[in-house]
Amino acid sequence: MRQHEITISKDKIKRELTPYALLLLSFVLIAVFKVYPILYALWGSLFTRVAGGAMRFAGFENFTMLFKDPDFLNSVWMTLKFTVIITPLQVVLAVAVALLLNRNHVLVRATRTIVYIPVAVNMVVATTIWNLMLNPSSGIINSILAVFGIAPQPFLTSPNQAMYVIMVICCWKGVAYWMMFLLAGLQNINESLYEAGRIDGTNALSELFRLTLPMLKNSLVFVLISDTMINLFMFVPVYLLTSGGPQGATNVLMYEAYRSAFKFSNYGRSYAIITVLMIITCIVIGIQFWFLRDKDAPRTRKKLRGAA
Amino acid sequence: MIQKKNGLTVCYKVLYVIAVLLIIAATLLPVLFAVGSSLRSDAEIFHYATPLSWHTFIPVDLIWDSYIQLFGQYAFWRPVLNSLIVAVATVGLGFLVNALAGYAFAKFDFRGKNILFIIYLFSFMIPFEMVAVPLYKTAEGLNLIDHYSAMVLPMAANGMIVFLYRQFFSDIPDSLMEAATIDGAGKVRTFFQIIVPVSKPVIISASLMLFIKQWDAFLWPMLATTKPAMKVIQVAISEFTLEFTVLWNIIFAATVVAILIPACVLLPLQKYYIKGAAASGLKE
Repeated sequence: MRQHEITISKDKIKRELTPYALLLLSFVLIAVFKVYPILYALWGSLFTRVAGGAMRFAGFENFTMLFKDPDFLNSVWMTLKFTVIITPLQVVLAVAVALLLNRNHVLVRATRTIVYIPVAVNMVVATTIWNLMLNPSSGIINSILAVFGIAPQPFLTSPNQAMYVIMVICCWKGVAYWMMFLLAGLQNINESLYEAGRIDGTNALSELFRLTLPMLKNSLVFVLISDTMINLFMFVPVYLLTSGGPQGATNVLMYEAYRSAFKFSNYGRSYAIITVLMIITCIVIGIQFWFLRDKDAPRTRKKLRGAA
Repeated sequence: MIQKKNGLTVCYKVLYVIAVLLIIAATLLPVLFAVGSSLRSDAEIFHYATPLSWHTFIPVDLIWDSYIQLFGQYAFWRPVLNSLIVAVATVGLGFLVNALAGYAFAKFDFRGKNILFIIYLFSFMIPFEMVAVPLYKTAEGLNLIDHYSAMVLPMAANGMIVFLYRQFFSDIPDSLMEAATIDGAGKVRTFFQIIVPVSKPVIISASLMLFIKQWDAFLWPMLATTKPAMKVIQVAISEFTLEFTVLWNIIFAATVVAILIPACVLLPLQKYYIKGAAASGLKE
């Protein structure tokens, strides 16, 4: 009898522990490789290196130094400029391409497969190919421009153009990638909603703004926020092509953080930059959520119910 | 009136076709240019760049030399092999770790479930670049630098993939599992014998997403490897770009290889990848 009770409670414990056992591996990996490095950066930003390589607690010294450093302030500005221009550009282009390719014609389906190709192309590969195409003297882009009578452009060697050239490279991959999410969202919209709209006699434009975009909102929010994050942390093209130049024109924060740590071994400064970048990310995402909050949710829902 | 409307429709259709053709051209230009240039000889590579002609895109003589050199002299098979090992290991470990977590969130009630789920979701919002610099010290402390595990372990657990599994497993009826429990199978055995066999679509979606994530990573694989023999494709190509500024055909050949491998995996299975993307994009 006693024996029996013990087995039951053992079974019960086992049953209650099962979910934790299932989560153990993933939890350890996330804790060690995602959460811990972030805490490490926050904590490490409060230390500075002294002669001999030892670390000394410095309070907010790294931060006060940063905000007096023109290179850092320039990086903040470049990061914001890049993100603020490219994010809406990528999202609008991705929406436009998704809308164009949201039909069920066999040729359109084939086109979609072609347009997905950049998703499989690593950013390093995309950057490498574009770099050679944009070569000012033997690149193909200047040859194409010459056909239209445009003089050869310096592209990445010009402080005025370099950042925009990097935006083009990022768009080539980014638009295809985000388009895929938006197209998936579009295809989830119930066709009957459109039919109802057509009976009511709506035109294409009001169909887009009154029906398609509101129905796409979940995908759009996801794409906008993920894209903003990726752009705030843009690194590969700067590392490979410009090293932050010419004249600091592409020196984004992520590159400055990399350089601090791995070129100058100044980890305290690097962690402080990462911390600032995290704060900027939180602020930007916060602003986006504020604008996207569901202020007119009940109204939209009523409208849709009316349409359906 | 009808006449005018037809005219507009034709005009609209022409504009539509032009727009789609422009999209195709912009997408394919770099890829085709890379393929074309990789098949050129050293002498030809800069020769036809300007002015624009057919030979700007299509080589005069098709020559495989750059591929032979790439895999011979430059031992590119090594980064290819490394990338494949890292990708397969990430996908394998990722399946085990994320699917079990998704199973726990979908089919169990336990204390702290909501908090844990929020931590998992939050973790997938973190761009990998953000943790790469501080992660270097962590990995150094764990003695992982220059091991495959340095590239595999941080990538394997992924909140988005856990979320994907959870969605799918939630839709599997409990009655299916109860039958197995009555037969005396434990929860873990039920998972492998009942859940896994009916979950092939989500397993393919999740594996593809993890594979592409690993394939896209750069900053971390670069920091995590110092020995040339350990470098993955992305890092090897970045070194070509930084060092061999004039060996264009070799660089192009390397990029073509780096496009072909994921394209061969992704294009036939694109519908699964898109399904995964859709499920993660539609979350609240």
